[in-house]
Amino acid sequence: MEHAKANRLLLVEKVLVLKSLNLFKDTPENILADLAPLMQEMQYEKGVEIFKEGETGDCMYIIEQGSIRIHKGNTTLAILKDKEVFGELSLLDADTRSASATADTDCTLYKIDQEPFYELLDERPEVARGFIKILCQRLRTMNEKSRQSDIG
Amino acid sequence: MNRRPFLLQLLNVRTSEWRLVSQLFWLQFFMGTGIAFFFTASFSHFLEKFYASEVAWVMIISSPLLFFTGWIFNKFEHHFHLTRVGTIVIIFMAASILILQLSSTLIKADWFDYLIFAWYYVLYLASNLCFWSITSTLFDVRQSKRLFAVISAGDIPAKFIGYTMAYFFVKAIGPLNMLWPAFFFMLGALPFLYKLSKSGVVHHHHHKDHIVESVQGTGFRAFVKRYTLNTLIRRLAVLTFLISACLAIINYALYSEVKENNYDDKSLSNFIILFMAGSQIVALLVKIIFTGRIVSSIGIKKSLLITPLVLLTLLLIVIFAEYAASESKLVFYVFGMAAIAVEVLRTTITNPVFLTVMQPLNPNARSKAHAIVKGIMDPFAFLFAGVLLVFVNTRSANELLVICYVLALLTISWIVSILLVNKSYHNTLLKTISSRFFSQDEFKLSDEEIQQQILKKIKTGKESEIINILQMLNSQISNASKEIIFKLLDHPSYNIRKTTLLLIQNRNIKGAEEKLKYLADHDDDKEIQYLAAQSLCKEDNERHHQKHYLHHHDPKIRLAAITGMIKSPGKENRQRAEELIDNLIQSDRITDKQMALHILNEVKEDYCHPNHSDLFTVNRTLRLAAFKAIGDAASPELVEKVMTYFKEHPLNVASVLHAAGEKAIPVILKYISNNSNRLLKDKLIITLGKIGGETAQNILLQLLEQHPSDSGIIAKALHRSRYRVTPEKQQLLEDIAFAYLTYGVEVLQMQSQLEKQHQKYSVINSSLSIELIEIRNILICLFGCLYDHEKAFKIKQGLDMKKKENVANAMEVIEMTVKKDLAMPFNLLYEPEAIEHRYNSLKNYLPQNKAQNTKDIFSKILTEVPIFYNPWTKASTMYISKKTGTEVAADLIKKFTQSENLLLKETALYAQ
Repeated sequence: MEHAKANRLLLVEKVLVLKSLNLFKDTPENILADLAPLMQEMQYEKGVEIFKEGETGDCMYIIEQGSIRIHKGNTTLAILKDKEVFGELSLLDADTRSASATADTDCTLYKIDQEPFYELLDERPEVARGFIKILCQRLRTMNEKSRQSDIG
Repeated sequence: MNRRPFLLQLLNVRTSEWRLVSQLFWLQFFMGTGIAFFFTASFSHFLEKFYASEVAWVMIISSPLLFFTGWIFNKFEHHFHLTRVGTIVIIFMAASILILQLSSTLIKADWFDYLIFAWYYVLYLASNLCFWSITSTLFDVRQSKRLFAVISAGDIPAKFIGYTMAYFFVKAIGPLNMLWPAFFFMLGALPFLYKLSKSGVVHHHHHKDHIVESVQGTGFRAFVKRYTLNTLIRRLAVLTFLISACLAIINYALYSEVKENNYDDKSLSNFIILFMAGSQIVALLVKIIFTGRIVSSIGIKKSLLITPLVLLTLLLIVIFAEYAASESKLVFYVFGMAAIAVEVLRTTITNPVFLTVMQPLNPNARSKAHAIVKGIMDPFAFLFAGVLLVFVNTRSANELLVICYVLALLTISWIVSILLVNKSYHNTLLKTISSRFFSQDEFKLSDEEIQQQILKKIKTGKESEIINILQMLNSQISNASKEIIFKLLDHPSYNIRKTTLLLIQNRNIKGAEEKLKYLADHDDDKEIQYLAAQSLCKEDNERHHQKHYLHHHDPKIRLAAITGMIKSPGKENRQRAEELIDNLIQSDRITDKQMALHILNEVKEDYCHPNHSDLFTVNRTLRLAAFKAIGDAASPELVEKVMTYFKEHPLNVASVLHAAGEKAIPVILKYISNNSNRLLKDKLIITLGKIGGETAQNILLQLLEQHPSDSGIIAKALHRSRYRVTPEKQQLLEDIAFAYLTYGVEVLQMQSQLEKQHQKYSVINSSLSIELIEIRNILICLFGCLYDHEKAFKIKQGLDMKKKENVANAMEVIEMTVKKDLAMPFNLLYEPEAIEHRYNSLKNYLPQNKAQNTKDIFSKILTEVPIFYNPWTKASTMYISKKTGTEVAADLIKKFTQSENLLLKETALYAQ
């Protein structure tokens, strides 16, 4: 079963959750403070499918507690644990999900929807700049990896 | 008692750098001692057998050897990792010393003595190349300023030990036996190189990454070109040549003088040894204690000028003494002083500064710069000095006087060369931070030949080339250029036809009606048709074309016709178009209103419709579109109406105010005076900066004096408006900058206090780092207004990159641009060092009422004095105070329970 719960965490605490993620570790807290109000706490029971492969993605998830199985049919691709994120690209670009996600245990997740996120980007250019920086860093890392594999 | 902190402070070395600095020091010490023993052995042996004048021939002989050594080193450096090159060089030097030692017992010929002495120069060069190639890749420009003096000091005690030991042992074991200790000391350097290699800090030069400096080919021309492409490297090469030549001549002159004053060989070598040892001691003290500080306080140019100016002064004394004094010993002593002074100043100041100048170059270019300084120019300088001295020896009656004149001439060239190097150094620093430069060539169309060339290019050129030509034609419309522009309306490329049409419309170029009509009716591309119809209707005073296109079956052509008419210079045309637009605005159909908006958006820079604001009330989407359709031509009434939506759409309204320009200023000022919402006020102040111009700047300066608490955002706005300070306001802005530096130190002190309980308060410490960055950005904006906006922009870029080299270069630009009283604390505040170290260096800037404990820190943040802290800093402070049970006055938290900011309100309710 899926439940959207009344928020238990303060905004300050949500900022600290965001900061603890690898994705946002270099993003200043004052920018994350704008993102924090968009986090909705969700509860999933073990075995509940969070999204299905091929669905259009329009949100990202942060695992507060529990583990999530990412799979294609019966083939497990990854088991994600606390403080890991999935579906983060859907926040910026709606596309079909490349795999399904199912709760492997009872889980507490934070969901950030694309639409309010877009509105935030409109209102706070510094948040958009923060995300552009994250994307640039990822691109650089990938370029570097591909350059090294070319050399190798 | 641990003496290290005192030693680090004395040597100006940071704790994190100590290990590396000491390893380099010992590497230099062992190589230097080996070289000193070799010099003592070879030089005393040479002077035992030959006159000092023969040293000139040694210089000539060593010249090709040095050239070859530099060339070989360069090859090695390109093919192997630097630590491997270092190992090869050290083993080679040790082996060559051993071979010479063993051969000395077998070979007694004169040429062998010349060779041994010349070999000293080879070893000296090889060890320098090896050591500095490694060192120059390890530090950034600011570290090098501090550290090169200490690191390079390693060879001074080495030389001192070498010369002192020689004094006692040379007669006992014979000069050539001194090669044995030289051999062992040289080998002693290897373990330190190994340690450096194991630490992994020495990087191989990435030649592929620096295409600019790379020149293909292996021939002599490619070799020369490689070292002359970069202006800074080229100028450094000339400067090095001059310095090396001067020093070779000075040393030679001193040795000759010593001989001329009737010293025998024994006393002569003792004199040389004592002279060298004494000067090394003075050099060591000056170098370790003063050099880093001298360079930091007086800068690169003045530091480099010290040596030639002292030399020039002493040369003048020698010349004067030569004419005035009958006692020849007086000339000798003065000249001896000159030699010591130059030797000391060269080792203590010139060389370390020289290496600092190369630091802004990328590692590959830097290595080349170093090779050129130590490797390539020395042979030429030695050859030049040797030939000159042989010539003077054989031709001149008063050798010393001629040498003095030659030296004076070389020293003047040396000074000029320093000025040129300094200029290149500045340029290189700026380029290193950002290399986004472009320039547009201009041309004159009056020349028939150029016209023909352009016409030819239009036929054969690429699309981008032709568009480029159009942009250049835009700057000089004439009959000749019109002819070319009209030809381009027939061009097969859509982009070229479109650009040409826009040019014709924007510059009101007449005479192409026939072609425009053809395009409007027959062009394959709809966009071209609209643009052509628009252009025709703009100029049509007889309404023939207007009638045709206003009733066209394609609604977009009809729109284009109205747009053209509203842009028309004719009053009647505009009135008619205005009525047509009004019909669309007042229409009940949304599509008509959208058509009106389409037109208004296109003409917003030239025209404002009196009923534009009627579109605001339809719905949100149309309102925002109507905002976008407001431009420079907006009426004050329209701007005022837009302002009523500021709370609802702050960003969109701010964009309208910016687009409306100066006429929005009174409306902005009224809002700022009557409202207290900080976030909205800040947006308006920044908008004033974006509008720019004298009026906006004066308003901002008034606000600065009336509302000092808003000085941060006002400084940003002034920088945004490219405000350049006037002499009357200079002091005001400098005072504000100094105040922000003080706030920065206060924040640093808070961090230093909180750091002692790191885990407990790490969240607040991290938010204080954000505050420090905010203060830094405000300071950079103030520096822009006070000194140079472009440089301020580049400084921010460099600091934002967060890479060690970029930060160092940015701080170097600050030192060169900003007043010293502001630059020095700024750099100390933001250098990438530990908080404690930075705070200790800046303690003197701290205000009296500093925070004594955590409670004080929390209170300061929540009181928002003297700066407005970020909502996140305040929220995290309230949160942590509750979590850790740190007592804070209740009213400081209570006031935030009414805040409009959700984060602050929620946290305050939790924490109270």
